[in-house]
Amino acid sequence: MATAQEIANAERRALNLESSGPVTRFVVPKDSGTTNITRDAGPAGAFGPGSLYGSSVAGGLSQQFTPTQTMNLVKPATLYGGTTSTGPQTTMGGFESLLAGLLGGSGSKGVSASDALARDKFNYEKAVDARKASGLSDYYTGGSYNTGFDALLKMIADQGKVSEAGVTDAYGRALTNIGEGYDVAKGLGDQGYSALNAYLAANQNNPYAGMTAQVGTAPDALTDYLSAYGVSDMPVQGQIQADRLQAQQGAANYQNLINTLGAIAEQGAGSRGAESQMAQLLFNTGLGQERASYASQAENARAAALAQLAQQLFESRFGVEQNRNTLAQQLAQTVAELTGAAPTSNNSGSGSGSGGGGNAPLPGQLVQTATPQEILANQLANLAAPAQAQGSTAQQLLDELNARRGR
Amino acid sequence: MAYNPADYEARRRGYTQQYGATGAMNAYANFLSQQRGTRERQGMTEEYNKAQPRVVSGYSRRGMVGPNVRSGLFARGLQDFAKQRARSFSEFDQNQQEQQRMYDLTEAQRLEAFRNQLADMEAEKANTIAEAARQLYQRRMGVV
Repeated sequence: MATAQEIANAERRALNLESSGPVTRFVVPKDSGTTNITRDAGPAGAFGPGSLYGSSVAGGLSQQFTPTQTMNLVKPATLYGGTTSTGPQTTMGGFESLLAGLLGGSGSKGVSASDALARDKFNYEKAVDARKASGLSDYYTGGSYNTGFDALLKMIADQGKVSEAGVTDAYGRALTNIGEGYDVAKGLGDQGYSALNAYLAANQNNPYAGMTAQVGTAPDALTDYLSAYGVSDMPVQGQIQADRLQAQQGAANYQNLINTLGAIAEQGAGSRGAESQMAQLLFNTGLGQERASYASQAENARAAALAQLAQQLFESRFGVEQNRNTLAQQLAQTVAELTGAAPTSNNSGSGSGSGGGGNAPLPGQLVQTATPQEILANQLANLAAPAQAQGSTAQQLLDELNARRGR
Repeated sequence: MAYNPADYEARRRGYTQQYGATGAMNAYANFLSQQRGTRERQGMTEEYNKAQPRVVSGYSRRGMVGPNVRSGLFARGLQDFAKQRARSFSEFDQNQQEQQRMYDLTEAQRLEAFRNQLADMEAEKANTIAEAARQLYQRRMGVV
């Protein structure tokens, strides 16, 4: 009974595979000289559906082969990097050349120098593209491109704090200036009114206050003279008293006039004192209103400045984020064009402006999910694709990769 | 409205000089009036002193007065003379006193007006200082 190893070896032989240690190699089948290809009218013939090769197709294979015609197919292994040392026994002529040309092989001829140069150039450019794709992919998935944007955002945030502090300081200085200006103006005004009040108190404007109506001395009644002749002075005294009474009445009227004028003057002085107090109150009230107005203006200016600052900061951050997004899109597009697959868009930048170090992704930042093994496999695939097209074996591919990596 | 102390001092000097000059002129007129009244009163006194002997001598020539003679007409005549003299002096003194009162009243009113001028000026100065302070405040705030 056959063992599992024997079965596996049999299957490999059936597939023209040969194991040599860890390397599995495709064994080019020996040329038997002829290969029978039978035109198959069925749906799964060697050349595909038979309808493609039906007699109805002009120039089709059905017109070149008879159903029982046999052709000698040489070097089918060139597709897989196989070699044939001996010349082919072509029985179909132009078809072989056509097929070899379609497959990019050399047919019965060897690889020319120009073809080798073209292949090397192609491989070199492919390798460059692969490295570029790998680098751009790492640059994208690793989020390294966020560093500059994060630094810009941090600068914007720092400048915003500085500007806000500047606005606050300016507001504080404005309030201080308003308060100091108010104190100075109030002191000056109060000093002027204090001087006025002192003047009014020291100069009571009532010049009638000390005035009194005096009654003159009574005239001489010639009492001695009359008595010398034995004449009584009684009638003369009566006359003098009457005149004196009239004079006293005149003096009283004058005194009343003085008193009236004095009262008016005192009222005037009191009115001046009240006027001074009212003027001082009006001055202080107006000054206080102006201070409140200035403080309000300063507050409004502060609010407007802060609003403008916030707007500018937003616009600046918006511009940075916009540039970041544009670059991310360009990177993703470039990587997709080079690799044929969209990169994992898990790094969109921190957006916080902190620009923090470390490999841990920041909120909103892309996360690198490609492992080094995956990156190596990607590079290997990039190398294998053109090499397989040129007929290299897996071992050659690995050798070439190791050679490029300096191993 | 700029505040300039020199303006107010100039106005104060003007008010004071005007008040002083007018007061001096009035005082001199009052002095002249008093002097004239004094002279007039002296003249009246002299006139009445001279008239007294003539009154007695007139009654004496008519035999109404003399040694052991005292007529009622003489007594009444002498009393009338004394009453007329007293009234003349009373009226003169009253007139002089009224003139003096008018002068005093005028001077009091002039002084009141002068003080009112100074008080008005001081009030104006205080208001000007306050307005200047307010304008300085506005300039400091950059309003004007």
